[in-house]
Amino acid sequence: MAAKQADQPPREDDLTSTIKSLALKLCHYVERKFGYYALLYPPGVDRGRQPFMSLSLAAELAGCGTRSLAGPILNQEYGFMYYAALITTLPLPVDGPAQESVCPAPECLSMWEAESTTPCLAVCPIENGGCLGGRLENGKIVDSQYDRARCTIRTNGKWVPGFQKALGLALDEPDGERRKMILNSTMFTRTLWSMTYSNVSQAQCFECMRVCPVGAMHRNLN
Amino acid sequence: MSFFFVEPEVYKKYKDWVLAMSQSIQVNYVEHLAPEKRKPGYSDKQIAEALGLDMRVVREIRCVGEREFYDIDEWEKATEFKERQCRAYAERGVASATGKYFAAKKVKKVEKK
Repeated sequence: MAAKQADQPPREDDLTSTIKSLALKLCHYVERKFGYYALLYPPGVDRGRQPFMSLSLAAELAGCGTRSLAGPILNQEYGFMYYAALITTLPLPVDGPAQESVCPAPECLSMWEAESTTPCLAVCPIENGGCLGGRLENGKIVDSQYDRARCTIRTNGKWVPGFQKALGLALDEPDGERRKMILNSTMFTRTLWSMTYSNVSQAQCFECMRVCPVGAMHRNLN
Repeated sequence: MSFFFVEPEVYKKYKDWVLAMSQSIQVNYVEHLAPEKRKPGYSDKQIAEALGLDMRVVREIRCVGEREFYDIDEWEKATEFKERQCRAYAERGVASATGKYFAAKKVKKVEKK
């Protein structure tokens, strides 16, 4: 079943499921072929809305990419990527972290010299109601600001956080008619769809990554 | 019998401290920065030790506080932002974010000629 799922092109809402499915297949392969333990890094969050393990840190230490001004780990070739991980006792050679930072990209440095901003900072400036702030100097990030609470609203606004917020609004509303309007609103309905059928795909922002030049040639189609 | 949650009085008393010390607003998180410059924020455990609270209490205060940090208006602003950016990208591509920079570059080229 896992093999058949992998053969079919992934639906947008199945993207993370596909990645996890592939990682799970890899776990099985490691165990059956090599006889070592392999455990899929579990999706979701643990207590305190923290992940079970930092995939960003794992990706960075494995040399998959480096931390960016916008936050995500950027791969040297492909830019922003989704990651899955498995924890294994199989002894593997260690690549180590990348030697050179992917961010800021040359295009971003040029823009910084001309405009004192970068594409990601320009699209989501923290000083103007956005999530990102920062400063470059001598080709490096020397200051950075990230509003995680606001970014969560933008990336998960129609998902669990949006549902919690909208439900709170409905529960606080003393007027039954207004409560009905809230519960049947577009916003509340979308949160329910996002949490059930559409996984997280309805909620993502990604505007900072959309304008990121790293890996852009792989995203731009005819 | 219930699951663990923090009483409102405790939450109100410590919310601002917990959020200020947490990683909710990250300043200079990037690891390559000099240690004296980094302000990555503290873990729940570190905040608990500093405030003399149980880590579970800090964790729950942080989770509720982060959700309450912005009111419902911010969700509407997020929707408007996304729609605005999608439309801008559809019309102008990456130039919707770099437009001023490209315009300035063109002016510089013309001036050089």
